[in-house]
Amino acid sequence: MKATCWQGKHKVETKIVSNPRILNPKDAIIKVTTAAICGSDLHLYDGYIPTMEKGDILGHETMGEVVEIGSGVRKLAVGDKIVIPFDIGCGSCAHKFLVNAI
Amino acid sequence: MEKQNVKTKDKSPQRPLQWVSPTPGTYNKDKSHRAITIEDKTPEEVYLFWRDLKNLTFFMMDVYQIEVMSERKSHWVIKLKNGMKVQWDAEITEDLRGKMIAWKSVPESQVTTKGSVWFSKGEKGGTVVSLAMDYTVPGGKITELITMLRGEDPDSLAQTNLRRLKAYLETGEIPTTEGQPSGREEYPSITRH
Repeated sequence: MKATCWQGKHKVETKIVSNPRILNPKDAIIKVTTAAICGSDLHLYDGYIPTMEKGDILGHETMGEVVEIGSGVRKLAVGDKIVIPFDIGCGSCAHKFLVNAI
Repeated sequence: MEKQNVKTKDKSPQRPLQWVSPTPGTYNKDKSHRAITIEDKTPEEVYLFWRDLKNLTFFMMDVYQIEVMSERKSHWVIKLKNGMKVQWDAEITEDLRGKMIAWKSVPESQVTTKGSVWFSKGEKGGTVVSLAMDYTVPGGKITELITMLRGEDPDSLAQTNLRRLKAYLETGEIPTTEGQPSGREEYPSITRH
């Protein structure tokens, strides 16, 4: 798949990377149709996040279609159109009351 | 009206700048400790999980193997990011059921380490886990600086380990991006910006 990869401060490249796989039963694979650039992407772009490594994929406000789901996914089905919020809920912790999309 | 408000504000006691224990009753002499609250678990439960030292391999960073040798003695193997293994024997020095565990490495170890962990009831339920860790590695000040920059100094490591413990006990797993695609390996570039 194509991915927008961070290469260093003020340097971003589109690259071909390996396709995603279901690694965890709670995973879902999304075919991204559109991604917004968030204000917090600028922190990454400007090099303020020390844990970023060259090649890390950017984009956390995405829209798309579910193409594959893991065995533990209850609330999504292949073909669903989805929007991903920036705070990802695992469905197990206290935030399950706020985000319960799994 | 506004003036009065300002006056009241001025009179309010200043928040003390000193270090404050995270919850009343949490005892920890070491100031460089970190604390986290674990939901839906009693201090007893978290204590029992920790006391079975083999469980520590599930969430502690870089811990490769822990061998329980006796009631109080254990053998620790750490695998560093560069593949190097460091090992030592540790001994539990204090053990209060449901409350705290303290440990230290036996004399003449490759790494000198000591630490303590305290378990207490959270104000809104759950368990406050308070962890203090300290260690010295061979290499002196320079190694100390490097480990600090890499976030592997005792203070950062205590914080990381607690976050991972919380994730593990509350959800049964630790969030990771391991195995997911990334452009970290060399892939041909399509466009540049």
